[in-house]
Amino acid sequence: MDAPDHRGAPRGLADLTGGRGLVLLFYRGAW
Amino acid sequence: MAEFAERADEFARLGYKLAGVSADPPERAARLRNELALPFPLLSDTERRMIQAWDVYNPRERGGIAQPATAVVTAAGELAWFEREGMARRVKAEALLAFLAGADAPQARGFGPRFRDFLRALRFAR
Repeated sequence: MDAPDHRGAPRGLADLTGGRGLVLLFYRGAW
Repeated sequence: MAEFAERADEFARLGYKLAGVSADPPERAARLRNELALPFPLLSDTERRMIQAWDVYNPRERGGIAQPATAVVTAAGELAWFEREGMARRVKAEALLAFLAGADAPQARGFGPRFRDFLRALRFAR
Protein backbone atom coordinates (compact mmCIF):
# COMPACT_ATOMS: atom_id res chain seq x y z
CA MET A 1 0.00 0.00 0.00
CA ASP A 2 1.33 3.42 -0.92
CA ALA A 3 2.28 5.66 1.93
CA PRO A 4 -0.19 8.42 2.58
CA ASP A 5 0.54 11.78 1.05
CA HIS A 6 1.78 13.48 4.17
CA ARG A 7 2.12 16.78 2.37
CA GLY A 8 -1.53 16.77 1.51
CA ALA A 9 -3.01 14.83 4.37
CA PRO A 10 -2.77 17.42 7.15
CA ARG A 11 -4.26 20.10 4.96
CA GLY A 12 -6.81 17.60 3.71
CA LEU A 13 -7.90 16.50 7.13
CA ALA A 14 -8.37 20.09 8.18
CA ASP A 15 -10.49 20.59 5.09
CA LEU A 16 -12.66 17.61 5.90
CA THR A 17 -12.96 17.68 9.65
CA GLY A 18 -14.72 20.26 11.71
CA GLY A 19 -18.34 21.12 11.63
CA ARG A 20 -21.08 18.63 12.26
CA GLY A 21 -19.92 15.97 9.86
CA LEU A 22 -18.87 14.82 6.43
CA VAL A 23 -20.90 13.65 3.47
CA LEU A 24 -19.01 11.07 1.44
CA LEU A 25 -20.03 10.54 -2.16
CA PHE A 26 -18.51 7.32 -3.43
CA TYR A 27 -18.49 7.40 -7.22
CA ARG A 28 -17.37 5.12 -10.04
CA GLY A 29 -14.66 7.38 -11.31
CA ALA A 30 -14.05 9.20 -14.54
CA TRP A 31 -13.63 7.40 -17.83
CA MET B 1 -22.66 14.72 -7.97
CA ALA B 2 -23.81 17.78 -9.84
CA GLU B 3 -26.85 18.15 -7.62
CA PHE B 4 -24.70 17.96 -4.51
CA ALA B 5 -22.36 20.52 -6.00
CA GLU B 6 -25.21 22.89 -6.67
CA ARG B 7 -26.41 22.60 -3.08
CA ALA B 8 -23.03 22.46 -1.34
CA ASP B 9 -23.70 25.79 0.35
CA GLU B 10 -26.84 24.35 1.94
CA PHE B 11 -24.84 21.46 3.37
CA ALA B 12 -22.29 23.98 4.63
CA ARG B 13 -25.01 25.97 6.37
CA LEU B 14 -26.01 22.81 8.20
CA GLY B 15 -22.37 22.29 9.12
CA TYR B 16 -21.56 19.41 6.77
CA LYS B 17 -18.69 19.19 4.35
CA LEU B 18 -18.75 17.16 1.15
CA ALA B 19 -16.14 14.94 -0.45
CA GLY B 20 -16.17 12.53 -3.36
CA VAL B 21 -14.29 9.22 -3.13
CA SER B 22 -13.23 6.98 -6.00
CA ALA B 23 -10.37 4.71 -6.99
CA ASP B 24 -9.18 7.26 -9.55
CA PRO B 25 -5.65 8.58 -9.15
CA PRO B 26 -5.40 12.20 -8.00
CA GLU B 27 -4.65 13.53 -11.47
CA ARG B 28 -7.80 12.04 -12.96
CA ALA B 29 -9.87 13.17 -10.00
CA ALA B 30 -8.48 16.67 -10.42
CA ARG B 31 -9.52 16.71 -14.08
CA LEU B 32 -13.05 15.65 -13.18
CA ARG B 33 -13.23 18.18 -10.41
CA ASN B 34 -12.21 20.92 -12.81
CA GLU B 35 -14.59 19.76 -15.52
CA LEU B 36 -17.52 19.72 -13.14
CA ALA B 37 -16.30 22.76 -11.21
CA LEU B 38 -16.98 20.94 -7.99
CA PRO B 39 -16.87 23.03 -4.83
CA PHE B 40 -15.67 20.09 -2.77
CA PRO B 41 -12.61 17.85 -2.89
CA LEU B 42 -12.34 14.50 -4.65
CA LEU B 43 -10.39 11.93 -2.71
CA SER B 44 -8.36 9.17 -4.30
CA ASP B 45 -8.55 5.71 -2.77
CA THR B 46 -6.19 4.16 -5.30
CA GLU B 47 -5.49 1.20 -3.02
CA ARG B 48 -9.23 0.57 -2.77
CA ARG B 49 -8.67 0.33 0.96
CA MET B 50 -11.57 2.43 2.12
CA ILE B 51 -13.75 1.35 -0.79
CA GLN B 52 -13.37 -2.28 0.17
CA ALA B 53 -13.63 -1.68 3.89
CA TRP B 54 -16.90 0.19 3.42
CA ASP B 55 -18.19 -2.59 1.15
CA VAL B 56 -18.72 -0.39 -1.87
CA TYR B 57 -16.24 -2.20 -4.07
CA ASN B 58 -17.05 -3.32 -7.61
CA PRO B 59 -14.20 -5.60 -8.72
CA ARG B 60 -15.66 -6.32 -12.15
CA GLU B 61 -14.91 -3.03 -13.84
CA ARG B 62 -11.68 -1.23 -14.69
CA GLY B 63 -9.61 -3.20 -12.24
CA GLY B 64 -11.92 -2.42 -9.36
CA ILE B 65 -13.88 0.75 -8.78
CA ALA B 66 -16.19 2.19 -6.19
CA GLN B 67 -19.87 1.50 -6.39
CA PRO B 68 -21.95 4.67 -6.08
CA ALA B 69 -22.89 5.16 -2.47
CA THR B 70 -23.65 7.99 -0.10
CA ALA B 71 -22.59 8.11 3.52
CA VAL B 72 -22.68 10.66 6.29
CA VAL B 73 -20.19 10.49 9.15
CA THR B 74 -20.96 12.83 12.00
CA ALA B 75 -18.41 14.73 14.03
CA ALA B 76 -19.24 12.34 16.83
CA GLY B 77 -17.86 9.55 14.69
CA GLU B 78 -21.18 7.93 13.94
CA LEU B 79 -22.41 6.72 10.62
CA ALA B 80 -25.64 8.68 10.30
CA TRP B 81 -26.52 7.63 6.77
CA PHE B 82 -25.39 4.95 4.39
CA GLU B 83 -26.96 4.04 1.09
CA ARG B 84 -25.32 1.82 -1.49
CA GLU B 85 -26.63 2.25 -5.01
CA GLY B 86 -26.56 0.63 -8.39
CA MET B 87 -25.14 2.18 -11.53
CA ALA B 88 -25.89 5.73 -10.49
CA ARG B 89 -26.56 7.67 -7.36
CA ARG B 90 -30.24 7.88 -6.57
CA VAL B 91 -30.03 9.65 -3.24
CA LYS B 92 -31.27 13.16 -3.76
CA ALA B 93 -29.36 16.00 -2.17
CA GLU B 94 -32.68 17.46 -1.09
CA ALA B 95 -33.62 14.31 0.81
CA LEU B 96 -30.27 14.19 2.54
CA LEU B 97 -30.48 17.88 3.44
CA ALA B 98 -33.87 17.32 5.00
CA PHE B 99 -32.53 14.39 6.99
CA LEU B 100 -29.51 16.33 8.22
CA ALA B 101 -31.59 19.35 9.10
CA GLY B 102 -33.76 17.19 11.30
CA ALA B 103 -30.93 15.31 12.95
CA ASP B 104 -29.89 16.12 16.48
CA ALA B 105 -26.72 18.17 16.63
CA PRO B 106 -23.90 15.72 17.39
CA GLN B 107 -21.35 16.56 20.00
CA ALA B 108 -18.09 17.51 18.35
CA ARG B 109 -15.82 14.80 19.69
CA GLY B 110 -13.97 14.43 16.44
CA PHE B 111 -13.89 11.55 14.01
CA GLY B 112 -12.87 8.21 15.45
CA PRO B 113 -9.26 7.06 14.99
CA ARG B 114 -10.15 4.43 12.41
CA PHE B 115 -11.99 6.89 10.23
CA ARG B 116 -9.17 9.40 10.53
CA ASP B 117 -6.84 6.63 9.44
CA PHE B 118 -8.93 6.18 6.31
CA LEU B 119 -8.84 9.89 5.64
CA ARG B 120 -5.06 9.97 5.90
CA ALA B 121 -4.76 7.19 3.34
CA LEU B 122 -6.77 9.11 0.80
CA ARG B 123 -5.01 11.52 -1.49
CA PHE B 124 -6.46 14.76 -2.61
CA ALA B 125 -6.85 15.60 -6.25
CA ARG B 126 -4.10 17.99 -7.27
